[in-house]
Amino acid sequence: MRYLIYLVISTLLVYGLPYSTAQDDFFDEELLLKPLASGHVYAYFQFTTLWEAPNNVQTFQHSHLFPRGLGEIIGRHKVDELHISLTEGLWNYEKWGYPVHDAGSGAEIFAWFNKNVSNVNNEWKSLTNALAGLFCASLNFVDSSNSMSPEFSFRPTGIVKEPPNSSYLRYSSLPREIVCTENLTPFKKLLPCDSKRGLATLLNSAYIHNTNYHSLGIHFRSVCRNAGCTKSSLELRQTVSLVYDTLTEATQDWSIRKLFGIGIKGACPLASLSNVYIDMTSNETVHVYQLTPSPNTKVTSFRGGQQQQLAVYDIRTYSNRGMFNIAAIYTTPKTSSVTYPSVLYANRYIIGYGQERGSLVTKLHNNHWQSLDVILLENIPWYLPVYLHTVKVICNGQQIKPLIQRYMPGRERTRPYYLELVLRLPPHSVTKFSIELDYLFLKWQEYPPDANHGFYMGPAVITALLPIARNYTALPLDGSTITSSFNASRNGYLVQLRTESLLISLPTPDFSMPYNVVCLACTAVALAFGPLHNITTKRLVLKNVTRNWKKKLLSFVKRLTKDTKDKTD
Amino acid sequence: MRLVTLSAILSIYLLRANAWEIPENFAETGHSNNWAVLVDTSRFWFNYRHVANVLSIYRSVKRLGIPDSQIILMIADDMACNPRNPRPATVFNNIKQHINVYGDDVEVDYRGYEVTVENFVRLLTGRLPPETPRSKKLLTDEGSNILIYLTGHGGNGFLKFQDSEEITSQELSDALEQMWQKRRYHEILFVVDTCQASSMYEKFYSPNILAVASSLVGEDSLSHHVDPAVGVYIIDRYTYYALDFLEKVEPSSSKKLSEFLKVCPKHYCLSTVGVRTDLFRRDPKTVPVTDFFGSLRPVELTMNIVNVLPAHVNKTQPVEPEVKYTYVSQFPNLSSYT
Amino acid sequence: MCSTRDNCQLPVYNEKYRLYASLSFAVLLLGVGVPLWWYTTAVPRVPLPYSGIARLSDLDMRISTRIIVATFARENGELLADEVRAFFADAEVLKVDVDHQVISSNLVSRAYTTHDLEKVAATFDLKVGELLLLEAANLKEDILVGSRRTIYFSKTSGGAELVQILSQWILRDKSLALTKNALAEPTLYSLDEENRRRFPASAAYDVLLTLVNPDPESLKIDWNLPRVIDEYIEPFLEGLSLIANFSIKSQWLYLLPLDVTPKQVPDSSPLGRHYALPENVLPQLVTPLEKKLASQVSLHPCINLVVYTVPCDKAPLHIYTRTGHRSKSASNVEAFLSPRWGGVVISNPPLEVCEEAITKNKETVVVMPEGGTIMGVFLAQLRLLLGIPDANPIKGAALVQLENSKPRDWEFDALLRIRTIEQLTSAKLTLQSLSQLLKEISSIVITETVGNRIKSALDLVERSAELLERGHLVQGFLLSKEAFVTAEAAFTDPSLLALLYFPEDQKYAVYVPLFLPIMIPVLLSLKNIYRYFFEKKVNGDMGKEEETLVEDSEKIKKNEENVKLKTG
Repeated sequence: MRYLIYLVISTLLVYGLPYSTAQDDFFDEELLLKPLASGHVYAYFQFTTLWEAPNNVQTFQHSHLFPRGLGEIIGRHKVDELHISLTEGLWNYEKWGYPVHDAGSGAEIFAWFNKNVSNVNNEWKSLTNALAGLFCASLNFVDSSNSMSPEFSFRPTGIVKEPPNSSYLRYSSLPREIVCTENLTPFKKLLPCDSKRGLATLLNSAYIHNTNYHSLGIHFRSVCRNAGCTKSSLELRQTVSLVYDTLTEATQDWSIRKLFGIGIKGACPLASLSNVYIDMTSNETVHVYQLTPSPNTKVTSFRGGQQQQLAVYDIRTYSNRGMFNIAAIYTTPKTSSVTYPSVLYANRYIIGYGQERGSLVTKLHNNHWQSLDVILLENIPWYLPVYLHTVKVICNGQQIKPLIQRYMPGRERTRPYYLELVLRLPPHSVTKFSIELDYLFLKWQEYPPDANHGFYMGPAVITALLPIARNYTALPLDGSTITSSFNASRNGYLVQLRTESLLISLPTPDFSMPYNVVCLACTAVALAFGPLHNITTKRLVLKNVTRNWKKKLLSFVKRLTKDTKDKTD
Repeated sequence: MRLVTLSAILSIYLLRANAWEIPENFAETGHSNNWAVLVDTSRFWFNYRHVANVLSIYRSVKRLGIPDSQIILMIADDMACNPRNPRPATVFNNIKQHINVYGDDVEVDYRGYEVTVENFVRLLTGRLPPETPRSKKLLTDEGSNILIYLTGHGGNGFLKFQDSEEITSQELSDALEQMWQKRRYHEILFVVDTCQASSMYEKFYSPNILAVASSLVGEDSLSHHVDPAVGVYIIDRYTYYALDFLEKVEPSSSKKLSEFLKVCPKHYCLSTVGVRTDLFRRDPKTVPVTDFFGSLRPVELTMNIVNVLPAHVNKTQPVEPEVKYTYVSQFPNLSSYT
Repeated sequence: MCSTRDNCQLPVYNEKYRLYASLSFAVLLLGVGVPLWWYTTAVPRVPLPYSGIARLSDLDMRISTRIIVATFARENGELLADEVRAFFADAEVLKVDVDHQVISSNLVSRAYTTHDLEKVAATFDLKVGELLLLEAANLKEDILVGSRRTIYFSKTSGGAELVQILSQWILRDKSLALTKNALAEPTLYSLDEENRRRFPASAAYDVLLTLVNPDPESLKIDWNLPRVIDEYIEPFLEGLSLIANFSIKSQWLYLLPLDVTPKQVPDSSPLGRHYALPENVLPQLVTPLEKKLASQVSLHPCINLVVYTVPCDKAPLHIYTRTGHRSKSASNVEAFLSPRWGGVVISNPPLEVCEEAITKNKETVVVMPEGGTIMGVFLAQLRLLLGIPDANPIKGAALVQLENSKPRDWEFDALLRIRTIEQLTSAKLTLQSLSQLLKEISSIVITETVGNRIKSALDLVERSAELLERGHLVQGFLLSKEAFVTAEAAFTDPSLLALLYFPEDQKYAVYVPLFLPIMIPVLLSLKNIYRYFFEKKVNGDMGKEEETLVEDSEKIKKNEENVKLKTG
């Protein structure tokens, strides 16, 4: 596919004029459907826009297929690479394998800025604000107090001129973020065919938000334009990942119409590639099903020691036949089995009791027969101060020393705690990372309106290069479309696992109290002040006075009390 | 109260005094664009009805032609994709579920924790941080008619935001005065559906505001009906009947604002709808509903054409320098560290 | 303490310490505590030049404009000059200075073309904003308005026409006055069509050219947007670069159908039909367009220019006016504009192309839109949207055709004047309302930045008005722009929202429990302190405090006994 594009480019270059009338951008739409061994169906949409232009402000002034709104923001804030994901639910790595794009629940955003940006923090803030407006998401809550620049975990996935410097990288996650129709609407608007034609017509909010896991992604980077990689193109991937549960339904059969509520109306006329792939690898082994209609072609892909069977449907050949549906009819009863668990997965939880201190535990499972090197990135908010000396990495009862350790202590209200460890996980092992933390008291105004709901802590990111491509679906670094992942054997297969995001209840005051506290404190001060003032400025003097009966009574009472006092003395 | 009557007398006096100075075309609407600020201030699932209220109005104004770029929608909590919602990505305002008011192309400008008193007042007065995107700003001018709709829980003289803070009627009327001073509106229709709603507009003192409240001071605004599938009340009475009325309005219809003011008589609403007209200089009987709920977009045909020859451009596209680009290794080379 | 009941021996010096103690309490609380409380709870407000802002309401904004009348005969010139002077004597915003000069007729009589005339006019040294009324011999029309800053008139033309041209086309005194008044008193004056159409003042604008292709399968558009922008729009905006910064962008949008279904009308054309779009549905076309333009991404006001290409099965599409006639526009182009939003051009494919496509049953047609026509319409719309109105025809007067897309010099001057007045009035109003608000709402915090901005905006407004008075239009405009931006920034400063709304009754509820129990003993002890020092002076026993004290206590005792006697 890439070489086809190169061919087009080279012809363009030959006939190219200062103002070439031919547009120099391409749009591809693809859908990968993968029945998972656990009985779920993974649907992955990818809309790719490739634009043969350098990344600068002038480029983004005139756009064709590339969404202008996003382009203007990217150009204005001098962004080299941008990744946004809006996710609801948690990807189950153990049972589902690896998705094409990893995403933590809630909103996650990271961006590489150009080297000539002088103040990265300001640019980052205005970038997230602009994106918040574009995607109707609360990305404007991203600021320096919840952003970090990890050194190892996130490398530029696009091409670069010189070795990257992580001070131009910003990463942040908003685990509380809700994903709903208002995010899907602007997402669809960025597509050149909107949701009017092509695969995007399948993106109906009612069916998307009814899934076990759904994730919207925007991935922008620069890629090679020619074989020698001397010029750069812009690549924008818009992705939608969905996981449907077919086991809860009456039958395990699924079809495009059942999953998305509508059949495919035909290809987007602007797309140069408009394909549906169905991963049939699990057919005949875990499940047994028949596809109707039968695919145009079947592809067998060998990748990282794994064989993969794919059915390919080219939508354009079906476009003149009206609505088009692909159905999988199961011939065996419902099954759910995980025969080959994923090589690497992780989970995370909080231990401890009380609202004072606790401990954060991340468990890393290595199912491979070899040891695995992983990078663990912990993103701990400033209101959960951690103690570096309490870091323990234990495997099979033995302490493991991290190969590399990076730590940046957080600062209240300005910086999160950043901890990045490179660990070597022994073969077939469970490694437990733990660190102790405190729960901080916040200022009265800093508590959200539903403070008793608790505070979310973003997921940890675990990066590894897997030696085998079992349950692996991601595209190779140099590929743009799903087709590029066929037969794409490489030295390692990058995964970036996200763990659970945690809900932590911080000590929360009673918000109806402040006025009472003010009054009580004032009264206490006044009560203390009165006697103090009296003792220091007045003196009790006894006087002889003749008294009327009232005073006699009074002095009698006084004397009585005095007598009792004397007795006690 | 005395202030109100005083200002009423004053405005009448002013009107008389200037009657002969008003230009002829003043009888027309005088506005050139329409905006809507729709705010739901309530968080938590049991306040589902407030979200349904505001989305009902949102749907109506959108149907009547106000584009999303001129609607500022603030929703304090997510009901559509709430795990408790039996039908995700939908919000219904009627047990019959014939209208999904969330729709397929909703654009929420402020949501969740962003819905605060501060942000609301900033929005009205235009004092937003400089990096705020334009879609989150109220970019009105002296020709803008604004519909402000607020719903939530309120009391005498305040409206609660997110159940944790409140906007007082004084703050609100000061904010509106600042808008008037800055020529940020032409006319405002202020609708509030909350308990003791009329207390919210009592302190207004800026001109050209017509205020409607679902209940008078001392009264509660009540909800309309419950949907057992959702488990909570799904709409308030006032908005239910207002929507009932608005559904019958078409962009071209000539229904008047005075009809809108009467949509919910006491035996429907169970509360008295309060109206304040003394600041408004037109007679609601002559004002079409679409002056606020619809969108006016004047159009002029262009007959002229500037006949010029193309300028000679000797701009050549800059030649892209050929640089050797590389992909970066995604995993650190550990041999240099161990 | 004393163990016996009476005549406990007093350690007299204690009295002194006690007094010092109550003195220090009083000093601490009243001298330190109260000022500290006052300082910390007071709203921080930088002093503002209120009097200066109040003075602005008397600020006379007048733009001095010099007009040179050059005639062959002195009397004629004087007459004309007087007429012009008299007409503009009571203009609201303008101050017109008219000079007259005599030129030799043979200098002008040799000039036949406009080009020659302009050459003659160039001998006069005209600054921006100035005008030359030049008598010319060989004119087809009575009066010809040049593209520079000169009006040529023939001997026969009367002063009334000249004045009319000056007033309606060039100086536009009515429009200027209305711009000012509609801003200042919106309840009395409403904006006219021209004011409503013009984009509000801003330091920068984005111009967004969008090409909409509703059916990419049957219609391919072969058009280079960046190129036509460079050829037509860029030079025009370059001519206005003094007024604001313009950045031009373009995009393509696909699959964006019209929201309305045009009616098919049979006609005599080869296709046998056309489609009709009534004028009253045009507003409905704009809203769906706006949804997809993504113009809200830009940081500045966005002027939208949309080319809507019509596919052959819906072509040709024509706009029908309210009266039911086809609007008269250029061949394949129909256009409309929406005030303060932008313009839309409907571009029909050439008839031959569609005819061929229909007869040969071709699926796709390739169309190259007429760049010159479409851009010509856009330029006309841009001129209106940016504030250069079309000149209403005046009998006997003609305009020199535009040579390039740049506006004529006198049009540019007129725009400068309008914008200057608009910006100055706006800045003035912003400052006035800000000062009024800050006076009225005493709980608004005024930070240093806001204070400085207000001060500098005030200074800029005054300086700009002074420069305009002296006839420096360009500098006056630049300062007014700066004043406008600064005043806007001051008004919309986010810090101005830090309102300390704390109801008075609640304030007392907090202060009373604290202040009452503390202040009462301290204030009462003041009495003792006063008596101690005061009575000491009366007795004149400055040296022996102890004795005084003893005496004092004895005195008190005596007094008490007296009281008791009385009551007894």
